Amino acid sequence: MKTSTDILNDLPLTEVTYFILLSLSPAPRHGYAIMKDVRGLSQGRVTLSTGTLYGALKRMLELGWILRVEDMNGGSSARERKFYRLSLMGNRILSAEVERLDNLVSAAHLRSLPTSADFA
Amino acid sequence: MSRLRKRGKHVASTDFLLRIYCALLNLYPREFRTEFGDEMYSVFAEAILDARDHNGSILRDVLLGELRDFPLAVLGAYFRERFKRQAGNSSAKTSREGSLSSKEMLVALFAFILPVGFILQNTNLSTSLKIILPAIFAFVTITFAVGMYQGFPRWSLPYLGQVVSITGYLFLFQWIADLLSPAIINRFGQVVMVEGTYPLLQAFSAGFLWLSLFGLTLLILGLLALLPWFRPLYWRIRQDWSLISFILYGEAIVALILLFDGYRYEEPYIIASLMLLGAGAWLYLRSPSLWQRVLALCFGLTLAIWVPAVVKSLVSDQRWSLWPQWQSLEIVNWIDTGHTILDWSWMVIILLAPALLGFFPPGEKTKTVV
Repeated sequence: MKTSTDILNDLPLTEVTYFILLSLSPAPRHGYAIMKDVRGLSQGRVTLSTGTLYGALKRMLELGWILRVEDMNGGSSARERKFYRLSLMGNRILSAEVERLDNLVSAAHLRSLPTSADFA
Repeated sequence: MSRLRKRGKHVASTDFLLRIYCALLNLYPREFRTEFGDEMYSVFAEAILDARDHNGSILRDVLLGELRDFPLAVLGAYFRERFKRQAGNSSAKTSREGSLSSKEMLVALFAFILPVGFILQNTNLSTSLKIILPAIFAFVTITFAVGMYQGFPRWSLPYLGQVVSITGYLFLFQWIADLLSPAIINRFGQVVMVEGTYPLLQAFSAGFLWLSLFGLTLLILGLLALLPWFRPLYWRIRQDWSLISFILYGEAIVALILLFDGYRYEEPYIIASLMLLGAGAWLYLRSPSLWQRVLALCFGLTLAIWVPAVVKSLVSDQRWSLWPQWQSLEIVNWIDTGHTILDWSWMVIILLAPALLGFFPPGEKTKTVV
C-alpha cells in the first residue's frame, strides 16, 4: 500500500484526473455520466472528449485509483454499460489533492490580494 | 412531411458521424480498442444524440472537441502501450532479441550499401549531386529517427554508428585537435623527422581516431541510458555487448571511406570494401551466439580492409602525390601498408573492447534475465 510520501509524489493532479475522481467520489458512474458531471462541476470549463476520458480512465485503472464494476442497472437497459468507482487509493489521492488545494487557497486568504485599481 | 424529412436527415447524419467515429477508433492501439472501443462508441453516440436534441452549436462543440483531442489521445494511447511493453520486456526472461524479419535485415544492410550511391555520384556516372546527397542524408536521418523512436533495435544500430562517426568527424576531432597545445603539435612535427619514430606516431594517430570514436559511442550510450525511453537499450546492451560492437561496425563505414580516400581511382576499392562490410553485417545478424556475432564482425572488417589493400598493392598504378618527394614509391607503399595494418588492428581491438562489459555482473534490473 502506498505511504503518504508516495501519494504526495502523485500530486498535483491534472484537472482532468481531478474532476474525474471528484465525479466518482459520491457514487459509481458510467462514461457518459462522468463526461456530463465533469462539465457541470467545472461549470463548462472542462469538456472531456471520449479520447481524453478513456485515456484518463485507462491510466487510473492501471494505477488502481478506480475500479470497474458490472452494469449497475442490473441488465434492465438494452445496452450493458460499464461503470467505474473510486478505489480506496483513489479516495486517498483525491483527499490529498483537495487538502493541497485547500492549503493553497488558505495561503492566498492570509493576504489581502491587490485589486485591479492597484495596478492602474 | 418536412418534419419527417428533417428527422430522416438527422438520423442519416448521425449514422454518418458514427461511421466516421468508428473508422477513427481503428487508429487507436489494438489493446486499447479492444478494452474501450465499444464503450467509447456508445458514449460518443449518446453525446451526439444528446447534443442533437438541443441545438446545432452544442453538436458542433462536441464534434470539434473530439477532433481537437483525437491526435493527442491516440498518441498518448500508443506511448502508454509502448512503455508498458518495454517495462514488460525488461523483466522478461529473454536474453537476446528475436531474429530479424527480411524487411529489417534489408534496412540494416542498406546502411552499408547506401554510401555506394555517394561514391557513384563522384564518378559522374549517376544523376546530379543535388538529388543523390540529400536523398542519402534524408534516408539515413529518417531511418535513424525511426530506430530512435523504437528504442534502437538491432537493425538500426549501423545508422546510429553512422551518426556517431559523422558527428565525431565533423565536430569532435577538430575540437580535440584544437585543444592540443601548439607546443605538442610542433613537437609532433619535429619527431616525425626522427628516423624510427614514425611507425610509433602512426600507431598513435590511428589509435587516437578509433579510441575517440569508441569513447564518443560510450558517452552517447551513457547519456541515452539516463533517459527512460532508452533504458531498455541499456538493459539489452548489458545482456549482449556485441550490440556496441555492431554500432562501432556502423562507424567503420565512414572510416573506411576515408581510409581509401587517398587511393587513385578509389571508387572500386571503397565499393568493394563496403560490400564486404555489409557481408559481415549480414553474418552478424544471422549468428545465434554472442561470440559468433563478434567474430562475424571481425571477419567482415578484415575482408573489407585487406581485400582492397592487397589488390591495391598488386596494382602498380597507385601514385601518392601527397607524400614527400624524398620518399621512394616502394617505401611509401610499405608505409601505406603499415598504416592499413595499424588501422585494421585498432578497429579489431575496438570491436572487441565491449567484451570487457561481459566481465562485470549485470545490475539488479538485469539479474533475472536469462
